[in-house]
Amino acid sequence: MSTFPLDVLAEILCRLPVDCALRCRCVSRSWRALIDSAEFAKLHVNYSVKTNSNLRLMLRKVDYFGYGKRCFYSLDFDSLNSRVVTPKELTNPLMSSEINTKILGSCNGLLLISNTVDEIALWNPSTGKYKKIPVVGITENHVHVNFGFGYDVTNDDYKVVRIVQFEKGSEKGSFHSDVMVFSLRSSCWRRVEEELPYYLRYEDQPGTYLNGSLHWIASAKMERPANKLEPLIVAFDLGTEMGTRTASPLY
Amino acid sequence: MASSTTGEKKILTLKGGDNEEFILEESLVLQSELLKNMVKEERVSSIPLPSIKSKTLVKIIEYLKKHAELTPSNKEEFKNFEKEFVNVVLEELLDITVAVNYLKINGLLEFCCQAVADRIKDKSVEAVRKIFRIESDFTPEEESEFRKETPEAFEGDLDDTTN
Repeated sequence: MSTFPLDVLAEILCRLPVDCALRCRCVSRSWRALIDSAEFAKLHVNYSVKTNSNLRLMLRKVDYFGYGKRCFYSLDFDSLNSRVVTPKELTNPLMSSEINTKILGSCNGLLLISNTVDEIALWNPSTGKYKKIPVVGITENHVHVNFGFGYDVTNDDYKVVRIVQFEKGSEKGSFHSDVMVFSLRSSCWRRVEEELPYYLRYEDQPGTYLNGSLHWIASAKMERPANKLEPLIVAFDLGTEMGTRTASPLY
Repeated sequence: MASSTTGEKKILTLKGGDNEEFILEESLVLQSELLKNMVKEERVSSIPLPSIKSKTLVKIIEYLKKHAELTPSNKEEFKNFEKEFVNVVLEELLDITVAVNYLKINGLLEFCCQAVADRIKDKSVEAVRKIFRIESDFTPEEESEFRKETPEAFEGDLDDTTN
Protein backbone atom coordinates (compact mmCIF):
# COMPACT_ATOMS: atom_id res chain seq x y z
CA MET A 1 0.00 0.00 0.00
CA SER A 2 3.00 2.29 0.23
CA THR A 3 2.64 3.33 -3.40
CA PHE A 4 -0.99 4.09 -3.92
CA PRO A 5 -1.70 4.31 -7.67
CA LEU A 6 -1.85 7.97 -8.67
CA ASP A 7 -4.71 7.56 -11.14
CA VAL A 8 -6.94 6.10 -8.41
CA LEU A 9 -5.81 8.80 -6.02
CA ALA A 10 -6.83 11.46 -8.57
CA GLU A 11 -10.26 9.81 -8.88
CA ILE A 12 -10.67 9.98 -5.11
CA LEU A 13 -9.36 13.52 -4.59
CA CYS A 14 -11.43 15.00 -7.43
CA ARG A 15 -14.51 13.99 -5.42
CA LEU A 16 -13.45 16.12 -2.44
CA PRO A 17 -14.84 19.61 -1.84
CA VAL A 18 -12.38 22.27 -3.11
CA ASP A 19 -11.11 23.23 0.35
CA CYS A 20 -10.41 19.62 1.32
CA ALA A 21 -8.63 18.90 -1.96
CA LEU A 22 -6.45 21.99 -1.43
CA ARG A 23 -5.68 20.90 2.13
CA CYS A 24 -4.36 17.62 0.75
CA ARG A 25 -1.59 19.57 -1.02
CA CYS A 26 0.22 19.48 2.33
CA VAL A 27 0.32 15.66 2.47
CA SER A 28 3.42 15.06 0.34
CA ARG A 29 5.30 16.32 -2.69
CA SER A 30 3.68 13.85 -5.07
CA TRP A 31 0.19 14.71 -3.77
CA ARG A 32 0.97 18.41 -4.15
CA ALA A 33 2.20 17.93 -7.72
CA LEU A 34 -0.91 15.91 -8.55
CA ILE A 35 -3.35 18.47 -7.10
CA ASP A 36 -1.52 21.39 -8.73
CA SER A 37 -1.56 19.78 -12.17
CA ALA A 38 -3.79 21.09 -14.94
CA GLU A 39 -5.15 17.57 -15.47
CA PHE A 40 -6.34 17.38 -11.90
CA ALA A 41 -7.95 20.82 -12.09
CA LYS A 42 -9.86 19.65 -15.13
CA LEU A 43 -10.88 16.41 -13.45
CA HIS A 44 -12.13 18.35 -10.43
CA VAL A 45 -14.05 20.88 -12.53
CA ASN A 46 -15.63 18.15 -14.67
CA TYR A 47 -16.71 16.24 -11.61
CA SER A 48 -18.13 19.40 -9.99
CA VAL A 49 -20.05 20.30 -13.15
CA LYS A 50 -21.36 16.75 -13.57
CA THR A 51 -22.58 16.50 -9.99
CA ASN A 52 -23.54 20.16 -9.57
CA SER A 53 -21.25 20.37 -6.54
CA ASN A 54 -18.85 23.00 -5.24
CA LEU A 55 -21.33 25.72 -6.15
CA ARG A 56 -20.59 29.13 -4.74
CA LEU A 57 -22.22 32.46 -4.59
CA MET A 58 -19.84 35.39 -5.02
CA LEU A 59 -20.73 38.56 -3.17
CA ARG A 60 -19.25 41.97 -3.78
CA LYS A 61 -19.29 44.79 -1.32
CA VAL A 62 -19.57 48.12 -3.02
CA ASP A 63 -17.67 50.74 -1.17
CA TYR A 64 -17.70 54.24 -2.55
CA PHE A 65 -15.39 55.61 0.08
CA GLY A 66 -12.35 53.67 -0.92
CA TYR A 67 -12.12 51.33 2.03
CA GLY A 68 -13.09 48.30 0.01
CA LYS A 69 -9.75 46.57 -0.07
CA ARG A 70 -11.28 43.22 0.61
CA CYS A 71 -14.52 43.51 -1.22
CA PHE A 72 -15.29 39.94 -2.26
CA TYR A 73 -16.98 37.22 -0.28
CA SER A 74 -17.84 33.68 -1.22
CA LEU A 75 -20.64 31.56 0.11
CA ASP A 76 -20.88 27.80 -0.29
CA PHE A 77 -24.24 26.65 -1.57
CA ASP A 78 -24.09 23.65 0.73
CA SER A 79 -23.83 25.93 3.74
CA LEU A 80 -27.10 27.67 2.87
CA ASN A 81 -28.99 24.92 4.68
CA SER A 82 -27.42 25.79 8.00
CA ARG A 83 -28.96 28.42 10.24
CA VAL A 84 -25.99 30.70 10.47
CA VAL A 85 -24.24 31.43 7.20
CA THR A 86 -20.86 33.12 7.21
CA PRO A 87 -19.52 34.36 3.88
CA LYS A 88 -15.79 33.83 3.50
CA GLU A 89 -13.80 37.00 2.94
CA LEU A 90 -11.45 36.83 -0.04
CA THR A 91 -8.37 38.83 -0.85
CA ASN A 92 -9.05 40.84 -3.96
CA PRO A 93 -6.05 40.52 -6.30
CA LEU A 94 -6.86 43.81 -8.05
CA MET A 95 -7.29 45.80 -4.91
CA SER A 96 -7.20 49.50 -5.39
CA SER A 97 -7.79 52.18 -2.84
CA GLU A 98 -9.98 54.16 -5.22
CA ILE A 99 -11.85 51.88 -7.52
CA ASN A 100 -14.11 48.97 -6.80
CA THR A 101 -13.50 45.73 -8.61
CA LYS A 102 -16.23 44.36 -10.85
CA ILE A 103 -16.90 40.79 -11.93
CA LEU A 104 -17.07 40.64 -15.73
CA GLY A 105 -17.69 36.95 -16.11
CA SER A 106 -17.40 33.54 -14.50
CA CYS A 107 -16.88 30.05 -15.79
CA ASN A 108 -15.86 26.75 -14.14
CA GLY A 109 -14.87 28.43 -10.90
CA LEU A 110 -12.76 31.14 -12.55
CA LEU A 111 -13.68 34.81 -12.54
CA LEU A 112 -12.82 37.64 -14.87
CA ILE A 113 -12.48 40.76 -12.78
CA SER A 114 -11.67 44.36 -13.56
CA ASN A 115 -11.10 47.49 -11.55
CA THR A 116 -10.50 49.96 -14.33
CA VAL A 117 -10.73 49.62 -18.05
CA ASP A 118 -6.99 49.10 -18.04
CA GLU A 119 -6.66 46.42 -15.46
CA ILE A 120 -8.31 43.03 -15.78
CA ALA A 121 -7.42 39.65 -14.35
CA LEU A 122 -8.49 36.03 -14.31
CA TRP A 123 -8.87 34.85 -10.75
CA ASN A 124 -9.45 31.51 -9.10
CA PRO A 125 -11.01 32.49 -5.76
CA SER A 126 -10.59 28.93 -4.42
CA THR A 127 -6.82 28.89 -4.73
CA GLY A 128 -6.30 32.64 -4.68
CA LYS A 129 -4.23 32.37 -7.85
CA TYR A 130 -4.69 35.03 -10.49
CA LYS A 131 -3.27 36.22 -13.75
CA LYS A 132 -3.31 39.82 -14.85
CA ILE A 133 -4.17 40.29 -18.47
CA PRO A 134 -2.56 43.08 -20.46
CA VAL A 135 -5.19 45.29 -22.00
CA VAL A 136 -4.78 46.67 -25.48
CA GLY A 137 -5.50 50.35 -25.46
CA ILE A 138 -8.35 51.86 -27.47
CA THR A 139 -7.26 54.94 -29.35
CA GLU A 140 -10.36 55.93 -31.32
CA ASN A 141 -13.48 57.40 -29.78
CA HIS A 142 -15.71 54.48 -28.99
CA VAL A 143 -19.30 54.06 -27.93
CA HIS A 144 -18.73 51.30 -25.44
CA VAL A 145 -16.68 48.30 -24.42
CA ASN A 146 -18.07 44.93 -23.42
CA PHE A 147 -16.21 41.95 -22.01
CA GLY A 148 -17.03 38.29 -21.75
CA PHE A 149 -15.30 35.21 -20.40
CA GLY A 150 -15.83 31.51 -21.04
CA TYR A 151 -14.46 28.11 -21.90
CA ASP A 152 -13.74 27.04 -25.47
CA VAL A 153 -14.61 23.33 -25.47
CA THR A 154 -13.20 22.69 -28.97
CA ASN A 155 -9.70 23.93 -28.16
CA ASP A 156 -9.75 23.30 -24.39
CA ASP A 157 -8.94 26.93 -23.71
CA TYR A 158 -10.31 29.75 -21.59
CA LYS A 159 -10.98 32.93 -23.53
CA VAL A 160 -11.67 36.56 -22.74
CA VAL A 161 -13.56 38.49 -25.40
CA ARG A 162 -13.52 42.27 -25.71
CA ILE A 163 -15.91 43.97 -28.05
CA VAL A 164 -15.45 47.68 -28.70
CA GLN A 165 -18.03 49.43 -30.84
CA PHE A 166 -17.54 52.65 -32.78
CA GLU A 167 -19.95 55.00 -34.44
CA LYS A 168 -19.51 55.32 -38.19
CA GLY A 169 -19.82 59.00 -38.93
CA SER A 170 -21.47 58.95 -42.32
CA GLU A 171 -24.79 57.20 -41.87
CA LYS A 172 -27.19 57.33 -38.94
CA GLY A 173 -27.26 54.07 -37.01
CA SER A 174 -24.21 52.60 -38.65
CA PHE A 175 -21.33 51.33 -36.57
CA HIS A 176 -18.39 49.00 -36.65
CA SER A 177 -16.96 46.62 -34.08
CA ASP A 178 -13.53 45.67 -32.97
CA VAL A 179 -13.52 42.17 -31.50
CA MET A 180 -10.46 40.84 -29.72
CA VAL A 181 -9.96 37.47 -28.07
CA PHE A 182 -7.47 36.66 -25.34
CA SER A 183 -6.55 33.00 -25.13
CA LEU A 184 -5.29 31.77 -21.77
CA ARG A 185 -3.43 28.94 -23.48
CA SER A 186 -1.37 31.20 -25.75
CA SER A 187 -1.51 34.09 -23.29
CA CYS A 188 -2.07 36.73 -25.95
CA TRP A 189 -4.73 38.83 -27.62
CA ARG A 190 -5.77 38.31 -31.21
CA ARG A 191 -8.04 40.44 -33.36
CA VAL A 192 -11.04 38.68 -34.95
CA GLU A 193 -11.19 39.58 -38.64
CA GLU A 194 -14.85 38.72 -39.11
CA GLU A 195 -17.05 41.79 -38.67
CA LEU A 196 -19.65 41.55 -35.91
CA PRO A 197 -22.78 43.07 -37.47
CA TYR A 198 -24.69 43.42 -34.19
CA TYR A 199 -24.80 46.37 -31.88
CA LEU A 200 -24.55 45.42 -28.20
CA ARG A 201 -27.29 47.38 -26.52
CA TYR A 202 -26.05 47.75 -23.00
CA GLU A 203 -22.88 49.42 -21.90
CA ASP A 204 -20.97 47.40 -19.31
CA GLN A 205 -23.09 44.32 -19.77
CA PRO A 206 -20.75 41.33 -19.61
CA GLY A 207 -21.46 38.41 -21.94
CA THR A 208 -23.41 35.52 -20.47
CA TYR A 209 -21.62 32.21 -20.89
CA LEU A 210 -23.67 29.17 -21.88
CA ASN A 211 -22.88 26.06 -23.93
CA GLY A 212 -19.56 27.28 -25.28
CA SER A 213 -20.81 30.71 -26.37
CA LEU A 214 -21.02 34.18 -24.90
CA HIS A 215 -24.38 35.91 -25.26
CA TRP A 216 -25.33 39.56 -25.40
CA ILE A 217 -28.54 41.43 -26.02
CA ALA A 218 -28.04 43.32 -29.26
CA SER A 219 -29.80 45.02 -32.14
CA ALA A 220 -29.16 45.17 -35.85
CA LYS A 221 -28.57 48.91 -35.85
CA MET A 222 -27.10 51.39 -33.45
CA GLU A 223 -29.65 53.64 -31.90
CA ARG A 224 -29.77 55.36 -28.60
CA PRO A 225 -31.96 54.86 -26.69
CA ALA A 226 -32.23 51.42 -28.18
CA ASN A 227 -35.66 50.51 -26.95
CA LYS A 228 -37.41 51.19 -30.27
CA LEU A 229 -35.46 48.47 -32.04
CA GLU A 230 -36.21 44.79 -31.86
CA PRO A 231 -33.90 43.18 -29.30
CA LEU A 232 -32.06 40.09 -30.42
CA ILE A 233 -29.56 37.75 -28.84
CA VAL A 234 -26.13 37.45 -30.37
CA ALA A 235 -24.10 34.37 -29.51
CA PHE A 236 -20.34 34.52 -29.87
CA ASP A 237 -19.02 30.96 -30.29
CA LEU A 238 -15.71 30.68 -28.44
CA GLY A 239 -14.60 27.80 -30.66
CA THR A 240 -15.21 29.34 -34.08
CA GLU A 241 -14.92 32.93 -32.77
CA MET A 242 -17.95 33.96 -34.79
CA GLY A 243 -20.96 35.90 -33.62
CA THR A 244 -24.35 34.83 -34.86
CA ARG A 245 -27.92 35.71 -34.07
CA THR A 246 -29.70 33.04 -32.04
CA ALA A 247 -33.40 32.46 -31.56
CA SER A 248 -34.89 34.70 -28.91
CA PRO A 249 -37.20 33.18 -26.34
CA LEU A 250 -40.91 33.61 -26.97
CA TYR A 251 -42.68 35.77 -24.44
CA MET B 1 -20.27 -18.60 -28.33
CA ALA B 2 -23.80 -18.72 -26.98
CA SER B 3 -24.56 -21.97 -28.76
CA SER B 4 -21.59 -23.78 -27.25
CA THR B 5 -22.56 -22.84 -23.71
CA THR B 6 -26.12 -24.11 -23.81
CA GLY B 7 -26.74 -26.65 -21.15
CA GLU B 8 -23.72 -26.07 -19.00
CA LYS B 9 -22.22 -22.81 -17.85
CA LYS B 10 -18.56 -22.00 -18.33
CA ILE B 11 -16.53 -22.12 -15.18
CA LEU B 12 -13.46 -20.06 -14.33
CA THR B 13 -10.97 -20.13 -11.48
CA LEU B 14 -9.53 -16.96 -9.93
CA LYS B 15 -6.44 -17.32 -7.77
CA GLY B 16 -5.98 -14.74 -5.03
CA GLY B 17 -2.66 -13.44 -3.66
CA ASP B 18 -2.45 -16.16 -1.03
CA ASN B 19 -3.15 -18.91 -3.58
CA GLU B 20 -6.71 -19.39 -2.48
CA GLU B 21 -8.87 -20.44 -5.41
CA PHE B 22 -12.30 -19.14 -6.27
CA ILE B 23 -14.43 -21.02 -8.77
CA LEU B 24 -17.16 -19.03 -10.43
CA GLU B 25 -19.20 -18.73 -13.60
CA GLU B 26 -17.37 -17.04 -16.43
CA SER B 27 -20.31 -14.75 -17.10
CA LEU B 28 -19.74 -13.09 -13.71
CA VAL B 29 -16.15 -12.03 -14.36
CA LEU B 30 -17.08 -10.41 -17.66
CA GLN B 31 -18.07 -7.36 -15.59
CA SER B 32 -14.35 -6.76 -15.21
CA GLU B 33 -12.87 -5.27 -18.39
CA LEU B 34 -9.47 -6.78 -17.57
CA LEU B 35 -10.74 -10.32 -17.04
CA LYS B 36 -13.12 -10.06 -19.98
CA ASN B 37 -10.20 -9.36 -22.31
CA MET B 38 -8.14 -12.19 -20.82
CA VAL B 39 -10.96 -14.69 -21.19
CA LYS B 40 -11.77 -13.63 -24.74
CA GLU B 41 -8.24 -13.51 -26.04
CA GLU B 42 -6.69 -16.53 -24.44
CA ARG B 43 -9.62 -18.75 -23.46
CA VAL B 44 -8.03 -19.38 -20.10
CA SER B 45 -9.77 -21.32 -17.36
CA SER B 46 -7.62 -20.12 -14.46
CA ILE B 47 -6.45 -16.57 -13.80
CA PRO B 48 -3.84 -15.78 -11.13
CA LEU B 49 -4.29 -12.41 -9.41
CA PRO B 50 -1.27 -12.33 -7.09
CA SER B 51 -1.62 -8.64 -6.25
CA ILE B 52 -5.11 -9.04 -4.79
CA LYS B 53 -5.60 -10.42 -1.28
CA SER B 54 -8.09 -13.27 -1.04
CA LYS B 55 -10.11 -11.30 1.49
CA THR B 56 -10.46 -8.49 -1.05
CA LEU B 57 -11.31 -10.92 -3.82
CA VAL B 58 -14.10 -12.46 -1.71
CA LYS B 59 -15.67 -9.02 -1.38
CA ILE B 60 -15.36 -8.26 -5.07
CA ILE B 61 -16.89 -11.61 -6.08
CA GLU B 62 -19.75 -10.91 -3.68
CA TYR B 63 -20.33 -7.63 -5.52
CA LEU B 64 -20.16 -9.24 -8.96
CA LYS B 65 -22.82 -11.77 -7.95
CA LYS B 66 -25.13 -9.11 -6.54
CA HIS B 67 -24.63 -6.84 -9.51
CA ALA B 68 -25.42 -9.68 -11.93
CA GLU B 69 -28.76 -10.17 -10.16
CA LEU B 70 -29.65 -6.49 -10.42
CA THR B 71 -33.06 -5.91 -11.99
CA PRO B 72 -35.29 -2.84 -12.00
CA SER B 73 -37.39 -4.39 -9.23
CA ASN B 74 -34.55 -4.91 -6.72
CA LYS B 75 -32.79 -1.59 -7.31
CA GLU B 76 -33.40 -0.42 -3.76
CA GLU B 77 -32.07 -3.64 -2.32
CA PHE B 78 -28.94 -3.29 -4.46
CA LYS B 79 -28.39 0.28 -3.29
CA ASN B 80 -28.51 -0.90 0.31
CA PHE B 81 -26.09 -3.66 -0.55
CA GLU B 82 -23.68 -1.11 -2.07
CA LYS B 83 -23.85 1.01 1.07
CA GLU B 84 -23.08 -2.00 3.23
CA PHE B 85 -20.38 -3.09 0.80
CA VAL B 86 -18.22 -0.01 1.43
CA ASN B 87 -18.96 -0.02 5.14
CA VAL B 88 -15.67 -1.73 5.99
CA VAL B 89 -12.51 -0.51 7.69
CA LEU B 90 -10.82 2.19 5.61
CA GLU B 91 -7.72 0.09 5.00
CA GLU B 92 -9.84 -2.66 3.47
CA LEU B 93 -11.80 -0.13 1.42
CA LEU B 94 -8.54 1.20 -0.04
CA ASP B 95 -7.46 -2.38 -0.90
CA ILE B 96 -10.79 -2.97 -2.63
CA THR B 97 -10.56 0.33 -4.53
CA VAL B 98 -7.08 -0.43 -5.84
CA ALA B 99 -8.12 -3.96 -6.85
CA VAL B 100 -11.29 -2.72 -8.57
CA ASN B 101 -9.19 -0.21 -10.50
CA TYR B 102 -6.83 -2.99 -11.57
CA LEU B 103 -9.69 -5.24 -12.62
CA LYS B 104 -11.43 -2.31 -14.34
CA ILE B 105 -14.91 -2.70 -12.88
CA ASN B 106 -15.92 0.84 -13.74
CA GLY B 107 -19.23 1.38 -11.95
CA LEU B 108 -17.85 -0.04 -8.72
CA LEU B 109 -14.65 2.00 -9.00
CA GLU B 110 -16.60 5.25 -9.02
CA PHE B 111 -18.64 4.12 -6.05
CA CYS B 112 -15.53 3.14 -4.07
CA CYS B 113 -13.71 6.41 -4.86
CA GLN B 114 -16.73 8.37 -3.65
CA ALA B 115 -16.85 6.28 -0.47
CA VAL B 116 -13.15 6.93 0.23
CA ALA B 117 -13.59 10.66 -0.49
CA ASP B 118 -16.53 10.83 1.94
CA ARG B 119 -14.46 9.16 4.62
CA ILE B 120 -11.36 11.37 4.31
CA LYS B 121 -12.89 14.76 3.57
CA ASP B 122 -12.84 16.02 7.16
CA LYS B 123 -9.52 14.46 8.12
CA SER B 124 -6.45 16.46 9.02
CA VAL B 125 -3.32 16.22 6.91
CA GLU B 126 -1.66 14.05 9.55
CA ALA B 127 -4.59 11.66 9.56
CA VAL B 128 -4.62 11.41 5.75
CA ARG B 129 -0.90 10.62 5.80
CA LYS B 130 -1.39 7.77 8.25
CA ILE B 131 -4.37 6.37 6.34
CA PHE B 132 -2.39 6.28 3.09
CA ARG B 133 0.84 5.31 4.89
CA ILE B 134 2.74 8.32 3.63
CA GLU B 135 5.73 9.90 5.32
CA SER B 136 5.96 13.63 4.76
CA ASP B 137 8.81 14.40 2.37
CA PHE B 138 8.70 18.15 2.93
CA THR B 139 11.52 19.88 4.79
CA PRO B 140 10.78 20.95 8.39
CA GLU B 141 10.85 24.57 7.14
CA GLU B 142 8.23 23.87 4.47
CA GLU B 143 6.15 21.92 6.95
CA SER B 144 6.09 24.78 9.45
CA GLU B 145 5.27 27.23 6.68
CA PHE B 146 2.21 25.16 5.71
CA ARG B 147 1.12 25.11 9.31
CA LYS B 148 1.35 28.87 9.41
CA GLU B 149 -0.36 29.41 6.04
CA THR B 150 -3.12 26.87 6.36
CA PRO B 151 -3.50 26.02 10.04
CA GLU B 152 -6.96 24.57 9.33
CA ALA B 153 -5.37 21.79 7.28
CA PHE B 154 -3.70 20.47 10.38
CA GLU B 155 -6.66 21.03 12.66
CA GLY B 156 -9.22 18.81 10.93
CA ASP B 157 -10.41 15.49 12.25
CA LEU B 158 -7.30 13.97 13.75
CA ASP B 159 -8.81 10.52 13.84
CA ASP B 160 -6.48 8.43 11.73
CA THR B 161 -7.91 5.08 12.69
CA THR B 162 -8.76 3.29 9.54
CA ASN B 163 -12.07 2.09 10.94
